[in-house]
Amino acid sequence: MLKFTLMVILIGNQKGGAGKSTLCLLLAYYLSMLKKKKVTVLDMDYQASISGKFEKAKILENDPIYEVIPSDLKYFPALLELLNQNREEFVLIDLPGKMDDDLLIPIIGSAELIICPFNYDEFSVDSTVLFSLVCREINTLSPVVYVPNRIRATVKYETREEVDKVLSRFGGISPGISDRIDFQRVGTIHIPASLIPFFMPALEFIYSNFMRKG
Amino acid sequence: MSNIKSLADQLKSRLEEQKGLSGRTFPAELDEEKTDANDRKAKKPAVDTKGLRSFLSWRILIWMGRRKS
Repeated sequence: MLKFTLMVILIGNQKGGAGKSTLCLLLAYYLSMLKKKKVTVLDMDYQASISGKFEKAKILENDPIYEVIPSDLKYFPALLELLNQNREEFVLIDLPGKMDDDLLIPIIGSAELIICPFNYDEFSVDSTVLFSLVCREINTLSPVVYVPNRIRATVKYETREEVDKVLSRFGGISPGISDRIDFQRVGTIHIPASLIPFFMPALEFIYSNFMRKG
Repeated sequence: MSNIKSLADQLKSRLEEQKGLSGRTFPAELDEEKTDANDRKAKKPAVDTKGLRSFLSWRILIWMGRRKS
């Protein structure tokens, strides 16, 4: 019988501000608190916002519910080697918002799932399509799932249907996540309960369709 | 230049080519569908003038009739 091993999940998009770090925090919380899974977050984003929040939370709040490792891209092979010794673990990688470093190639290549948050605006869609093309060149096997982010109830997205049609050629599209100011308060330990109905459908979709359950 | 950057640049220029000179946001595969949608839009006038034309033609006929009498 095959044993559940490490599952490397990338959260990336070439576009800055697409919501990568917030989605990474939400997914880490969802997997560790709600699904009782062991999670490690590798913060490889140049902005290091997750590790910043993690360090602050360690001082001000309780024990962390998952591990956050801030890391340069070059340490990825060593970290993966180390984490591979642990079984039954999800490794979430918050990627930088740039495709300018060859050190990204082994990271994209080792992913078992690529999660790509995006917004329905022209620049975000362009970057998302480009990110998808690059990922497909490097990693032909792993599925990609797109998460429509910052959806505003008052805006009529005229291109939404067309964008979804384009992205569905690369992978699955999850239910969207609404634009709420409370998402700025998402941390490594605390997540406002009021947000749960807004992000849960997207994460349930990803978990039930794309993740190994062990 | 890094390999991934040059790969991204190549893919970007290919994507731009696919979009064509129209500067559309989406890859070329969707152009046909978009054109169809545009054609449908072109065939259907933005304002329904049928009723207006009919009304005007009746007004003209009445006006001409009055002038003759």
